[in-house]
Amino acid sequence: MDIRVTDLAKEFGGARALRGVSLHIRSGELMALLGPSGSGKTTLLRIIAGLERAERGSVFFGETDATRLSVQQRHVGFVFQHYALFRHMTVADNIAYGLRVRRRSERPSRAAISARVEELLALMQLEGYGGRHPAQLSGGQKQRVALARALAVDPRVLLLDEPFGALDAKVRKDLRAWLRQIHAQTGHTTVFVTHDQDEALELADRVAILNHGRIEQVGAPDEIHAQPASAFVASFVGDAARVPVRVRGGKVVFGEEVLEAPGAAMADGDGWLWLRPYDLRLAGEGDADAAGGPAGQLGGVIVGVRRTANGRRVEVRLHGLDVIVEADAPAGLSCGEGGQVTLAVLGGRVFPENS
Amino acid sequence: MSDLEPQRQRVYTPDSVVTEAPWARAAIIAFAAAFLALFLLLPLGLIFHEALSKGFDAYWQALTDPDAVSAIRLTLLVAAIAVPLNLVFGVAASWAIAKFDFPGKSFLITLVDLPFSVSPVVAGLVYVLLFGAQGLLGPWLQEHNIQIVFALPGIVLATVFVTFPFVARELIPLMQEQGTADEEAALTLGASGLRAFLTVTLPNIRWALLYGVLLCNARAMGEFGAVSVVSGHIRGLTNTMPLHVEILYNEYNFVAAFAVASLLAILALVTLIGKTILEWRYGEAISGRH
Repeated sequence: MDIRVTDLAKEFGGARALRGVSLHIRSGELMALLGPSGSGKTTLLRIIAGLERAERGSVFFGETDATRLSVQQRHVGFVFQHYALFRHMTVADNIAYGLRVRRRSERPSRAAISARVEELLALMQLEGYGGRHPAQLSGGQKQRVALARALAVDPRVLLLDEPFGALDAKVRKDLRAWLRQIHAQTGHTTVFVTHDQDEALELADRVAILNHGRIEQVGAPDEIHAQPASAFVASFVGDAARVPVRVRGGKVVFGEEVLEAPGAAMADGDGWLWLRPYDLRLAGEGDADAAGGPAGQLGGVIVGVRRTANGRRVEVRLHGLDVIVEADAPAGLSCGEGGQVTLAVLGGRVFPENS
Repeated sequence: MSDLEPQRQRVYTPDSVVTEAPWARAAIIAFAAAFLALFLLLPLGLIFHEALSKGFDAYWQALTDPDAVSAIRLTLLVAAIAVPLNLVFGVAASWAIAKFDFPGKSFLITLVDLPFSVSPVVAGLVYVLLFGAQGLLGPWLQEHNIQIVFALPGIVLATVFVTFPFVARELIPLMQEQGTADEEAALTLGASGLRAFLTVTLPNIRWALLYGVLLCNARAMGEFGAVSVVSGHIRGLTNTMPLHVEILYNEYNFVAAFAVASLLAILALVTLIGKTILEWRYGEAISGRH
């Protein structure tokens, strides 16, 4: 079932949480709502679920106008950040809750309910945990029970609010892969909210980036990363340094240098050049491969070398400006802090100054 | 002696910087214990000693005196009405305060605490001024032959007022801590509002609720000031146990006075034991820490 929201607006005590958000979530898609805190992503999710009412705009589930439907009538599966498991019930009773509260005419038989619970426990790799109470489970297990409980009612769509937000890094990673697998198996249209870009880019089919109650960009993870639609997206997704530049006739002018940045699709004027570490290739003065990149080159001095989980990062202060950019250090980098280097510019995006 | 050399002459090494020396600890504990014994345990023991000073027969006679029986009945009846009322009011007020945002919320929280800060005598007087013969609504009530002051309704009203905060005070912090996610989860799963309340909210607060009810009940049975003003002290009719104790005492009938007082003391002990068991067994569920 696809979800369409059009022109949603919502205020909380004068603070505008959403300012006209429209979004189409395709049937069977796994979509991430990504944004900093206060961007309105959770509000959007809660409006889709029917937990909040929008002041303006509408929500469609397929052809059904769900805007005025109550949360019970919407038949969504909702997973909360802090699980919201019913602490006085066993795991099995938690999962069965949505089936047991149905009207007698729609309620499955006792045997059918316990069969469904067993099936979900198996899907969640929680066999044998049905008799436990939530307090006896780890965070990851709790979140899987919460997901099983949401799936038990066979919801039209599955909505997850920061599903891994309260878990530690290792568990997050495992659950991520596992959610992907569950989504592939069950095929529910799934929307999840996250402030973690890795999570969004790794897990989702498409990502919607929110900022200040507006959608900045919707696209596949590769597209978001490689072709950010705005300065906000460029800065929010991935590491990026910004360099003040001027644009003249489609070329980017930085001090004495003229760069042919691929993303200079803006009118002449002042702007910012956003450079990701992989947009730059670093070579020490005199190194053999100190050749210029396709877009030009920049000179600078190394001010720091950092060890990261995946390699070494070099911080370079560009000549003539108080701007520090980051680049991945090549394996045989000969100079350390204070060394003069040349940065070959391989890519980058330019956005107007006031964007 | 260099700074780096260990200070060998130190006799006492505290485990923690906030721990006192043993002698200081012993002194403080002894002082507290002596204070408790003098002002709490001794009087409690004295009640039973005085009540039984003329033998068990006299004790039993004092308790089975028709006026005493009537006072015990009235006290139980008042508690049986006031406590369930405050259970409902307390849950409703806590629910509204903890789960919703609305203008005037902090004012409502202040109102809930009002009975704690107002002298019970003042509360009683307010009801007399409102419902008494010379009161604001007095003439209307007399016309319709409704007796509130110096009768059961007045005593119940005064008791409800005085004991209102007990349930709400226990529930508000717990419900605020628990938030609304559990209820929202129940609603998304298709439960109606009432169903969510009965199957999710109520079980989440049950031990704190029981705790509040226990305290509320103890106060409802023991309340003196407010009830004294509105009751009119009609023997065998509007005297509750605390009022009956006072009357007997003023008549120098010490055995009977202490006999009835011993029942109130037993109520206090039962409440304390129940409270301790609840705190010990369900302390986390009551305070909201999980």
